[in-house]
Amino acid sequence: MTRDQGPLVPIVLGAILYAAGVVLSVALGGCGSVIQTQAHAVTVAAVATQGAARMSIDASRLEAQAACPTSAYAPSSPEMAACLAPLRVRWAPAEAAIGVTKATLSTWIEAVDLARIAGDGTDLWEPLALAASRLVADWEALRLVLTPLGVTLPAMPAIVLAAAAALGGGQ
Amino acid sequence: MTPAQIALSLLSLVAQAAPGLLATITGKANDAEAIAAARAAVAAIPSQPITSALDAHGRGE
Repeated sequence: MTRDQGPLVPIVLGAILYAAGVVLSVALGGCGSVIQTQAHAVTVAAVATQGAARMSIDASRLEAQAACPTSAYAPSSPEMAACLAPLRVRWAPAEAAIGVTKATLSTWIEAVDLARIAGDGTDLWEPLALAASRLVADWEALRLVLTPLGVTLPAMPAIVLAAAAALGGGQ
Repeated sequence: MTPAQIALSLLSLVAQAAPGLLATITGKANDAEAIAAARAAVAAIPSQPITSALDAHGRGE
């Protein structure tokens, strides 16, 4: 694939990501308990983050193929490593943002499980709301980091924002 | 990206959510199952995806 095809990749994958989010939102939205609603929101957000990671993989590989083609740099050579070094620096914030988003999702679902185990009458909704709020902020940070790299993320599906807002953590 | 690659990406996304969707559609979902599905989806987010991609390119893969 040539670098000229690059802009098409984020557009197509973005559309796929958005469609998957919409399908999941429709299928999972409005059903079950508060715990299930929260868990489903985490599932949707996690699938969206998987999509963001895949888009980043594809875009960074395209950039590497254009800047450091194997026709010009021998695989595993010092020259190839030197050529790839600036790309690693350029993409480092995106990789960090994906990692932070994954950590927040992990925190969120563990908070949901804690609330499930503790049951009603406990004061465990605050950490849950904090995690949901962080996820919304993390996704926006991920979008901001990826946009200059040519990866356009869609907005987080509405079910996630609604779940966060229901806890007082959204927007 | 070829149509086949795009289709695979879509299939992969759907497959990740399939257990939760199936449980919901069949009415068999409960809190613990919904949480388990969410944990699996979170775990499926790749760690260091870009480093791995650039490493693979560096090896000529």
